[in-house]
Amino acid sequence: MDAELLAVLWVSLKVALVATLLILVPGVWLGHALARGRVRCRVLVQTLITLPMVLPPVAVGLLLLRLLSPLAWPGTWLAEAGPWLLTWKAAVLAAATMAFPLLVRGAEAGFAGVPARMEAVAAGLGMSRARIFWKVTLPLASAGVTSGVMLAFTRALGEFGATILVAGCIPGETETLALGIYARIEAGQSHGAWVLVVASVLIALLLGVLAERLRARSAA
Amino acid sequence: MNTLRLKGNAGVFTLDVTLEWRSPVLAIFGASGSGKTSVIEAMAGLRPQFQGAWTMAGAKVPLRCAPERGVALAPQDALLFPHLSARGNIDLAAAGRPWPSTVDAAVEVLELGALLDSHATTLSGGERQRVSLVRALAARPQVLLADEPFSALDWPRRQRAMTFLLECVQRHGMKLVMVSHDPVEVLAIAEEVAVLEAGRVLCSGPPAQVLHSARALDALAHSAVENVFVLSSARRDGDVLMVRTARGQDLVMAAPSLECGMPHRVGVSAEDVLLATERPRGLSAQNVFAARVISLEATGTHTWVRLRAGDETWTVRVTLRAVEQMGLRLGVELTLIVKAHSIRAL
Repeated sequence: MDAELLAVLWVSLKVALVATLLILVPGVWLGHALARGRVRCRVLVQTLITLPMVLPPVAVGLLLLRLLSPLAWPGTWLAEAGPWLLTWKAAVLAAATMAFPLLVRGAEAGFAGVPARMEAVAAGLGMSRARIFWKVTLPLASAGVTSGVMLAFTRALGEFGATILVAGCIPGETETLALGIYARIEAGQSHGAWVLVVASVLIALLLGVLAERLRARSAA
Repeated sequence: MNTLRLKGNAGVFTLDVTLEWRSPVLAIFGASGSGKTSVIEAMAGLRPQFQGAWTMAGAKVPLRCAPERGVALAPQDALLFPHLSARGNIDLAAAGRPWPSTVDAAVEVLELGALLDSHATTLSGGERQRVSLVRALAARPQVLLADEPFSALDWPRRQRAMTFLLECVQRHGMKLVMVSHDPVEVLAIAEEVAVLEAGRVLCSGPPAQVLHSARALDALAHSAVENVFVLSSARRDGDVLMVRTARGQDLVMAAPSLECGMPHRVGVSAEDVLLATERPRGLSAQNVFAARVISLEATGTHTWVRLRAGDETWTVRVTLRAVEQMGLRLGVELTLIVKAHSIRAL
């Protein structure tokens, strides 16, 4: 396996993993809050969360570009910590934005399937809210949460439209699998593009098996 | 003194409960839909829609769930956490601490040892109920709230569970508030009872008095055991048990299964007692003794007759017609007849 392919794989996995970890806690928290009806203006919040799923990814990319632009706030403020545009951090932000709705929806479905009475019974035993969440609610919602996390990771892994606008396609820095395939086709390197396609298929199969195993384990 | 005030909309009726009790075991009794579960779940902190206050020996107990309240609920539906084993359920309630001695004893008494590693979803209704009770004890409650804790148990296990809970109360100072629709359970375990009807307290006090009042009996329309006697001794004699009540009345009862040992309490339904104006002869009934009418309470369709036989008091239900034909009135001397098989071990 050549160094170029390894670099693409490494950047892809790094961006997808960091993006998923970034949205994991807020996504699970929001999914739980939505499922338990603890969110005010629920419809508005759900619509806003779903926005990246229904908007063209390039439009999301353009919005992120505006946000990260060092010429206007909040980009000016963000730029104090170093450049964002055309870095792997921007790729992470784009991937996280696109993956967030999938994680929230999966978690919400998982938590909605946990009877509120189960949590009430735990509370009736004198268990703290945190303990109830970690020991009762989350394990019972794990199938939905796991599914949401897996979907979010795969979405982050395949992200293209928003990423190319904010992160560009810099080999070894922001060039992910999707960007790499596109760049090679543009450059007429069909062999290189096919290698990345095969790698994508293998990763997708691996993730599919992993997701199914986790789902079966949660269901058991 | 313990007090409870609860008020709020319970759907089909407005719950409006005011209770005072002194003893460590209170039963909340009533027909289905009378509001029993609403009351006990409000005490457990699961019904925040109800307003009110609860005190135990003068100390306020919040009507909101909190780990430090020292209150644990064994719910009616015995809802176990389905992703855990029986042991996992108990461990979770024990909050990582070693099981208290009451839990080890309860596991033995309720025969749960072999089931501890079974997954919650594989347990039967009765098994789930037993685990639910032990799980609540694992939370080391000062006040155990138990909603119909024995309803899915067979009679021998029910007896063992009741005896065990009473031991927990006596030895460990635990307080028990129990919901039941079974007067036998209430008479066997509780020292005070509150009878609920449509979200209100119909009457309250010692079970022997409250459950025998015509008002409570008619409201509940039950036909269970109205006469409960604590025994001071019991001995087997062939196929019968010769028992003596704490107030010195000798009774002959059909020997129950000795799986649970000798009975400590026995009960007789008010409908299983016959009255006669003269002492009959040649009867198969083993219990025939003189009694004197001390009260008569007529309701629309029948009369509750209370009689004194020695130092024991009996409650008998007869028809209005029988009262008229026999000329029943206060002070009349009668013969009270009870079959050996009508006396049940409680």
